[in-house]
Amino acid sequence: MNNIIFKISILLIFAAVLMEIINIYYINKVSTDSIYAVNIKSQIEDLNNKNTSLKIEILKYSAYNTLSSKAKELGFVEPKEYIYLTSPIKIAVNNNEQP
Amino acid sequence: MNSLSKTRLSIVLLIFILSYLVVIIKLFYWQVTKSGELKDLGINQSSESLLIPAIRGDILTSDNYPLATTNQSYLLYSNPIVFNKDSKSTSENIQKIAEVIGKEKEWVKDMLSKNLFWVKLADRLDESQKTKIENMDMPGFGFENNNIRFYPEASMAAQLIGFVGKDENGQNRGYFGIEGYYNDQLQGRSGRMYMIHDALGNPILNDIREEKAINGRNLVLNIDRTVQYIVENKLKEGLAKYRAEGGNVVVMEPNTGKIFAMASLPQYDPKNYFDYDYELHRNPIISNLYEPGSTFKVLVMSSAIDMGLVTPSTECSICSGLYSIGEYQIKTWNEKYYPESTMTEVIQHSDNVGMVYVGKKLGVGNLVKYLKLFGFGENTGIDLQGEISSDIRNEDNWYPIDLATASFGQGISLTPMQLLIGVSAIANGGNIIKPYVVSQIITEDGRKISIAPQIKRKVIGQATATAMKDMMVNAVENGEAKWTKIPNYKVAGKTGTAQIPIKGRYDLNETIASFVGFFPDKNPRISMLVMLNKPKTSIYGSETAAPIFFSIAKELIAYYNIQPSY
Repeated sequence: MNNIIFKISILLIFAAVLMEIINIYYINKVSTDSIYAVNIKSQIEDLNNKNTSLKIEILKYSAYNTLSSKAKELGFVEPKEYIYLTSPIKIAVNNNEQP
Repeated sequence: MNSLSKTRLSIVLLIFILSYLVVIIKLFYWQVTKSGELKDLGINQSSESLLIPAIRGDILTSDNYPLATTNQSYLLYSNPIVFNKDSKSTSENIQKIAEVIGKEKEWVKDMLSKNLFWVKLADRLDESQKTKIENMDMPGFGFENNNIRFYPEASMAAQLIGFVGKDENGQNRGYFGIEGYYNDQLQGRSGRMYMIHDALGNPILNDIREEKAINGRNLVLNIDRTVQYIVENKLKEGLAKYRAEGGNVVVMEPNTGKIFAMASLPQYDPKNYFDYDYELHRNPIISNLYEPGSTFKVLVMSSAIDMGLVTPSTECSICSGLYSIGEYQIKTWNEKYYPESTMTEVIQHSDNVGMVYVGKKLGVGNLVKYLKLFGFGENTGIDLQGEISSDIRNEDNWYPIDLATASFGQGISLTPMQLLIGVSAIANGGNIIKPYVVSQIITEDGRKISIAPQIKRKVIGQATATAMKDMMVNAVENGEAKWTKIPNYKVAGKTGTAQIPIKGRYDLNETIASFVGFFPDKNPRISMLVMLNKPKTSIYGSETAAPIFFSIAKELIAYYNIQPSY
């Protein structure tokens, strides 16, 4: 009887120690995963910030004021007048009409 | 065991029991009585609440280019105590930092010599500035992330857009224009993240709770970036050429009220709004009242035609010379008189005496009635913050001279937007429409909410609108601005040269020169108002505002591929 009680006690102690080890492992994993997650989050934030900066750069180069300056540097000029090709054109005249 | 030993044993046992009792009582005190307080302390020590700022919505032109968007910026702070302990705290390094952040070296040195744990050195730094400072690898410096408003086209449409400042709680808030009117849509709602962290400050994943931020909604405008650019450039050129103090242009679709462009000079930089006078933040097109002068004549004439009191061919019986009203004398702008001119010719010659004739036909009651129908005395309802309107005096408070001067646009005040809406009613067949700038609101989940045109009421009949339009076309073809008209295109328009009231009298040498009109004459697609404030080269609208109007119109005809009238 005493032997059985002794064996059960040892078993219980062993189980308690094992569960404690598992608990410590789990808590440690959560902590290290948290650190990993924070690093990933920080990288995402960095990339988002870089993305925003690049977007802003594109917008600056796409601004009409920028494009206009660049166009002038390249020699583009503003049109002086427009010629309209959509005015009615006579395709046939009779002998009495001026062409 | 003798009785002495038993007594000693009992005393020792009692001491042990009492000691344990003290420990238990103390434990009870800390773990039960003080548990709430200690729990809170523990949570404060290990828990953290982070604000997740909402990103303000973008303001986009009709071609989806952002006129206002959000950029990342950084606040640079320093821990002077840490910095000064390091060998890198040299004068040379302080100079380098000062150069990067654009501050004086002595100021930076002064800040870094303070016996504090945290000092702010600079705000609104961009990514390149942050990288330069990080590369210096100096201890005691850190950055805080901020979102700031960025305007890719700088001052373009500044008064239309408005700016983002701070409210009384230090939170971002839009003021004036679109930023002010649509602030609730644009600002979104910040979120919050609650987490527990370990002794090293790393968050524990299991205990993270997040209230997600809701980013602001994007707004798509009716504003066409190309048209806005054309308008602003032409206005700048005109201001320089005619040496005016300021100017305004509005371009609108008369049938729907869509605003394609709205420009005012002088402008300001919305990113650095605090460097500019408050007056520049206001949009004069909706926030300033002015006496419109001769451009107003088309509305008075429309009213009289609509009531059947005159027709385009009715002859003016008082137009042979000056007209006296009490102690006042009404004369024409060029002191030329055309006896028995028709109403068409009254508009063509911009004849003040002819308009007095029309005003007398209308009478105060009818004039006031039509002024209200045209929308004067109430806001147009445009979706911009800062709109005002003047009151229309009660009929009983009008003197005969008031009726006379109002008939040619003096002694009556309105905003430029109100005038354009009134003239657009002639273009669209007689409807007062509600002008609007924003065409679509895009929610965070991508849903698009479209804003439809609104017709407020009918003011004049189709026949009246057609007759008035023809008179305005004739004014352009044969009036004082005919030298600047566009070949092959019929434009309906009217010049205006309004004297400016100063302390109860009119300044004869300074005017507000304007031109209002629409084109093409059949199915008008564009209505536009151009105003110059105190041009110096000439006071007349026909010689200053009209050329700018037609210069812009030529560009818009090409841009919109509008076919010639003939």
